[in-house]
Amino acid sequence: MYRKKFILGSILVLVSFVLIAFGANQWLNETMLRHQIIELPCFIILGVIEARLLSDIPKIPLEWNIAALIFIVFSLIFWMLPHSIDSSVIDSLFNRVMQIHLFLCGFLWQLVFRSNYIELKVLFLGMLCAMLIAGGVVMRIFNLLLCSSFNIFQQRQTGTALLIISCLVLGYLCYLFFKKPGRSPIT
Amino acid sequence: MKLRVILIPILTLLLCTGVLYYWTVGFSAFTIFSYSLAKANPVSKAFPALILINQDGKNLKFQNDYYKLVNFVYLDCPFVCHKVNNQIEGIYHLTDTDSILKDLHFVTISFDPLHDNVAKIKRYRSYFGTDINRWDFAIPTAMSSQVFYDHLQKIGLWKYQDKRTGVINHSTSLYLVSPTNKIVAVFNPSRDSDEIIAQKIHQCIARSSYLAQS
Repeated sequence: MYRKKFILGSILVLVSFVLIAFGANQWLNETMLRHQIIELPCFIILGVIEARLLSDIPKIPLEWNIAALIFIVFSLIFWMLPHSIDSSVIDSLFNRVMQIHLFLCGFLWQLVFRSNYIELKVLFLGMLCAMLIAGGVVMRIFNLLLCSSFNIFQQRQTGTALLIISCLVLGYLCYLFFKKPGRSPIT
Repeated sequence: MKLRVILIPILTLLLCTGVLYYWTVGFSAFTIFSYSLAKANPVSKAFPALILINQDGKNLKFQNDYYKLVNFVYLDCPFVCHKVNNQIEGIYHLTDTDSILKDLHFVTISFDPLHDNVAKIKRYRSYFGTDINRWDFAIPTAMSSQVFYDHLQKIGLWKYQDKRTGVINHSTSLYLVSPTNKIVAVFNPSRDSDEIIAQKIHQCIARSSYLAQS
């Protein structure tokens, strides 16, 4: 039953990957908003789904857990750099590298989150939100074009979207964390 | 065992930082514009041997007795090129009264020879007034677009044309070129004001003249 679910799920993930990577790629690369807010999270989510299908993987040791978290954070920083965004839109090979890399990030994300301490999870997600807010502010207020593949209007639009999304995620995290203060996993 | 617990995350951190360090040229270039410039490192390189004609249809000689401030634009640009040219106009008038900078020449080169021509650059130049004798507008000639763009790439100028809109997004760097045709300095008009750029040019030329005399 588990094997059947895994195979079926993996096929669905693969089909979705191919559809997004090849079918919708041009549409996603047309605006900065689609590239940053839809394409990037899509591949991470596909990686997370694939890892969720593998429920019998043993827990990862702490040192590899932290190493994976560092890898994920740096990967997200890397793909948020204007230079990387431009390269992934202009160069199709680089675009493929980005898709596979983000899928791998999502996969590791799920494995790490399954077996990590709550403090690390909160720290990681909080830091991610802070990073997205900072990125959003920069895109929103800079009167300079950061990515040559897009225009300044799209840049501001993406900045606003990043700010809204990251603030919502941060608010949700706070809600989750403090909803039962007496029984909080940290205390 | 304890060493392993510390070593693996630290090695991962070092590896990731190393990749970012390389990708951003030592954490200094985060956009493709600054990356192209940092990789090309054009200072003290020869300015490309471009064959240009100016607004009067005459050949524009690059190797002469003057320092030149060179920038690249295209006339159909919706925004940034005009902003940079307005800034250059400001720098131009700051140099009028400066004893060292009064001989500085200005060259604005179009990198869209397919759409820009002599008549167009002449008309565009007229928008900046009549007292701009040291400022030439020019278009490349007698070379293919590819050769021209290769030259631009060598001095770290990035350009990318959006196929749908035709808009060319490009670097706005200003190149200070010596009388011997060497790039002396590169300025960023998006970051520095007219006064600061004029001051930096003054310092560069004063230093170069001092070194040449001694």
